Amino acid sequence: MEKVMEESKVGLYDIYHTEDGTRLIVLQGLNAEDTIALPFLQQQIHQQYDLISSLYWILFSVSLMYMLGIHIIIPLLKKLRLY
Amino acid sequence: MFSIEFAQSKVLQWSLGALVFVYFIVFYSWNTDATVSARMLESMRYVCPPYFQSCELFYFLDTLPDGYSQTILYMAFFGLLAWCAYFISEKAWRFAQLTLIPPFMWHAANVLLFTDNRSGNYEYYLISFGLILLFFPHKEFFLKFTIVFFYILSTAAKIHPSWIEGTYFTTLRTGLPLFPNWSIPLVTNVVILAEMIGSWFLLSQNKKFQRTAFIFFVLFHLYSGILVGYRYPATVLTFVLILFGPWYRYTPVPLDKKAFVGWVFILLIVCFQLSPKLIYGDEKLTMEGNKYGLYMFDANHQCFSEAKIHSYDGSIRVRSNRSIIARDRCQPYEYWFPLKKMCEQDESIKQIEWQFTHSINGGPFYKIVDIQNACNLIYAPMRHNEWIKTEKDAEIMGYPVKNIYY
Repeated sequence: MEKVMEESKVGLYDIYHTEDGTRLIVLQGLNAEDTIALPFLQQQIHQQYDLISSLYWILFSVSLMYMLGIHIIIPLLKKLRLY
Repeated sequence: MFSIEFAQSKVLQWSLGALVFVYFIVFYSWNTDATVSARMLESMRYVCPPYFQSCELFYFLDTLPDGYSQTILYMAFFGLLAWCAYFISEKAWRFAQLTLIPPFMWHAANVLLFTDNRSGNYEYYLISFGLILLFFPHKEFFLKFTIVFFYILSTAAKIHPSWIEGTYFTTLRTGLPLFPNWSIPLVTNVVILAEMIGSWFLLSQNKKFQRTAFIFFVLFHLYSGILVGYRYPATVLTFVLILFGPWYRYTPVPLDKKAFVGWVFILLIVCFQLSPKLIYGDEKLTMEGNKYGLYMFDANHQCFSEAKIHSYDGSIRVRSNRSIIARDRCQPYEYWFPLKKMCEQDESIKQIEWQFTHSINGGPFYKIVDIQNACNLIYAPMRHNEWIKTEKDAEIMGYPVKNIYY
């Protein structure tokens, strides 16, 4: 990993170029050695992210409807003798 | 104010005491804090909320060492809180409520109107608890329901790679406390599911389910305190213990006319929570509308802002800022606001060239703002601002390393 002095800005960030050509921006106070590597499980989830997030949105909607349904709609219908 | 409800409910009596406790904690930290003071106005280091960009008229208090006015005000609040504690001990519920109205108003105004820098999630909880305990009927039911509803709504902010993939924590140098890095996505997804579904059981009539959910959330708040400190658990866990702990009893659903205001409030918080989703782009990157609902642990932020201030005399000054820790919310608005105020107040400024670069959760650094003159910009609070680029059209400038958290 090589620090590129002319692209770095003192007090703001340093620029490094890694062997694979990645341009690292290391903000002042952070460490250039702390590169990010995704754990295995995270990589698997990342590949299915769209599916999983869609399922979560469905579950979120169900949860909201359940909470409002069981606490407002059904008791209200019972009160009005419609349920 | 429905004070009669306190006389009939030990849970509400303790909740009122908890409200005094939480206001004490908030004002303890605000007492000497200069965020909303004349000094911030003079040095142009204040930031108004995006929906109220002329909040300057509220910056009149002097904090030490400039003057005593702010500490005088907060000692007046201290006196009111102590007085309220006395009224509670005397079971004078209406007077206890009345003494809490000024602290409630001051706190809510600070969070919602005076500045954009005091809108923490726990402040939203406190405003809600204050509203219910001081003004709403059916206080016990709506306190319980609001807490459970907040758990569910908070997951809307968590349906994001930050939490589903756990990238918020895997891109921290220190990871997640007590759990190894490989397990982080498991832990974050358990939290999402527990808040989305498990929180229902806090309101259950089935004792086993209710107790299990209660123990989970107590442990969750104690654990989250390792990361977020005392403020959040002091605000929320206190009420969770009182409302869902050993004194828990099932509270029937109120459906009379008086309950209308409580249900309108519940529907309003749903609308606010979902409003950022109606704004184009990833709100964790553009930060547009991000604070209109609960946004706890929205994303692990890294950013830097570079402004070149051109004067009519030909001189150029450079003003650069960067984020320091993961929870520095990198709102372009927050960096633009002081530039805009400089343009308005300093007639020698010709133009401000401005670039803003932002990375979330270890993803690429996107140059989301790159404009010739920040003085000409207008920030619209309720829709996407064209001058803020999204992940789809912003240029990638590089990649980050692991961030720090404290």
